[in-house]
Amino acid sequence: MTVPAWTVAVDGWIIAIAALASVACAVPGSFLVVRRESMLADAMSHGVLPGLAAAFLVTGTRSAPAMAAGAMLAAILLSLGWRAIVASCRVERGAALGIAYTVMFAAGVVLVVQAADRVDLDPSCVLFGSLELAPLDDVELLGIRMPFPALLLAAVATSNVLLASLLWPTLVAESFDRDFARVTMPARWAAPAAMSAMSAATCVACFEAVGSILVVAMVVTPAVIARLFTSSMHGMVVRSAIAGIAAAALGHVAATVLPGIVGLHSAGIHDLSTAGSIAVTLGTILAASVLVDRARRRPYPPTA
Amino acid sequence: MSADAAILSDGHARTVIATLALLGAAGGAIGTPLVLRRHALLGDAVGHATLPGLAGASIVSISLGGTGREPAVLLGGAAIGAIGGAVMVGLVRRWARTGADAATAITLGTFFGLGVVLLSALQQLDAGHRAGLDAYLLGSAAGLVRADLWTAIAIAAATSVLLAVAHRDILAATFDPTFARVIGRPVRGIGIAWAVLAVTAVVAGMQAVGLVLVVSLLVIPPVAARCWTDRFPVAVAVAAAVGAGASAAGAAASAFAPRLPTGAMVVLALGAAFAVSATHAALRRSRGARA
Repeated sequence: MTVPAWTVAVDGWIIAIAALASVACAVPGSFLVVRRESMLADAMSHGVLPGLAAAFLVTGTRSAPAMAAGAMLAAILLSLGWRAIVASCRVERGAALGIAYTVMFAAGVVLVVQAADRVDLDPSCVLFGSLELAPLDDVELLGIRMPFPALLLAAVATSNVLLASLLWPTLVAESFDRDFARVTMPARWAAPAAMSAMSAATCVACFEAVGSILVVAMVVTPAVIARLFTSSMHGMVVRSAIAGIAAAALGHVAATVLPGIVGLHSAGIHDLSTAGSIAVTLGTILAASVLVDRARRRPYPPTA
Repeated sequence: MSADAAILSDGHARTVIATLALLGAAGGAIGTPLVLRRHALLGDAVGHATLPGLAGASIVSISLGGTGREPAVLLGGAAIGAIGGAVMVGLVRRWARTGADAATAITLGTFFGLGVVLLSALQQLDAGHRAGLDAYLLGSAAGLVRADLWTAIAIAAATSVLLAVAHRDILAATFDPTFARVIGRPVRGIGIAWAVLAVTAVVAGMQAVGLVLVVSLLVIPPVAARCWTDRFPVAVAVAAAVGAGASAAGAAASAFAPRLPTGAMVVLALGAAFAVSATHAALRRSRGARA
């Protein structure tokens, strides 16, 4: 028997959680990519660490609401600090992000070390996440037991879609042509605020399930894959959600089945990290999409 | 952690401070053109790309009968991962028709994901092994030895020589690469040489500062320097000075408080230097506005 026995209750929920994370990431991801602010996802997922540590030091518990509140505050602080650095130092947004999040992550590491005597809040756990353990953290809703991360991600995915539909024209205009948006859109200020809110909520909801660094892969890679096949913003959001869901399923299957197929069981390796595997699957899908894209475009001269 | 305190005898503390000061100076100088060319976060992708290299090297070492912890093997693996990351950023930009930001994020996510997959395999191969690699995630100055000081000296020397010999070409390639190419300057060669320097500095700095935060050595000093001057040679010098001073201060602070990770202390010291610089720039601008 090389294929491990699957259980719907565990493997089904793992795929469902990863798929919900992909849907939640599709909206902010598509906009971040066209706004050339992709690294905000990376910065936010690192920058929440001091919020988590501070929430623990203040409340003394690892309860999910306290952690989410701390992470959300830290994400807002990061966003404000980033825009302040851009405004005051005349540097590009990427460099300003690099400063804001490394300093916040370092502060988080120091706080975690302070808290380490009382809790196993391991920085590497924040970095890697534990998708495999996510289904075990379950709550009861309407008589059905379901994992808390799934509920949280479903809520964030819904609110992202609602917020984006509400502000759609402003968001699109502001992302592509800031000057046009400034003169035509009454609520132009809402676009960056909505981007920050969506990115922060998505990163906070995702990082607990998939780990802080893999959030980056789930936010950015599907959006770039989608961009290769469409030129409409709606098309990009829908296609990046589809790419993310496909990678969630394929990635989990690869993580659990591949070691048996390539004969790693004899070396004592039974399953691989699902979150890592999803990120690698997304990279593979992007590589395949690039090949398709290049083959399709070959007869024509490249457009810049 | 008390063992670490014992290791940090005076001689070792001096080695650590000197190594970090040199890496900070080199990082500041190497980072200045990168930040000006809007490539600031290249170091982030390269830093994270060392993880699959480290884990892969460890797996290869174990399957060949080694311990999986030989520093030379791990550093070799990290260097291969870092080069792979730098190459992939370029390929994704060209072929996926996307910006530098998305190429950086995709490379970082994919390589780190591969690293996490390899780590999960490594843990099952050799339980309890990950502790050996954790030091590279957040940095551990306790592992620095004399050879690392020599590496830091070599990187700082190579950066100084390249800047002294080719600073006009570097300036042209940074601010107007098209013009530099048209007048026949070796823009591509300079780009490659600079990427090699950046990758070497990231791999060397990763041991002390950790692969998650090593990008700060390349980004914070140049932006801090930008607050003090508008001239390129001065910016390089100020960035090198800020990098050296803050890294040495952070290393010294962690030598006195060995419970605190060296990498985090170095980044906080760099952040403090940046805060001073940004305040200076803001004050100067408000004075200028009133005058």
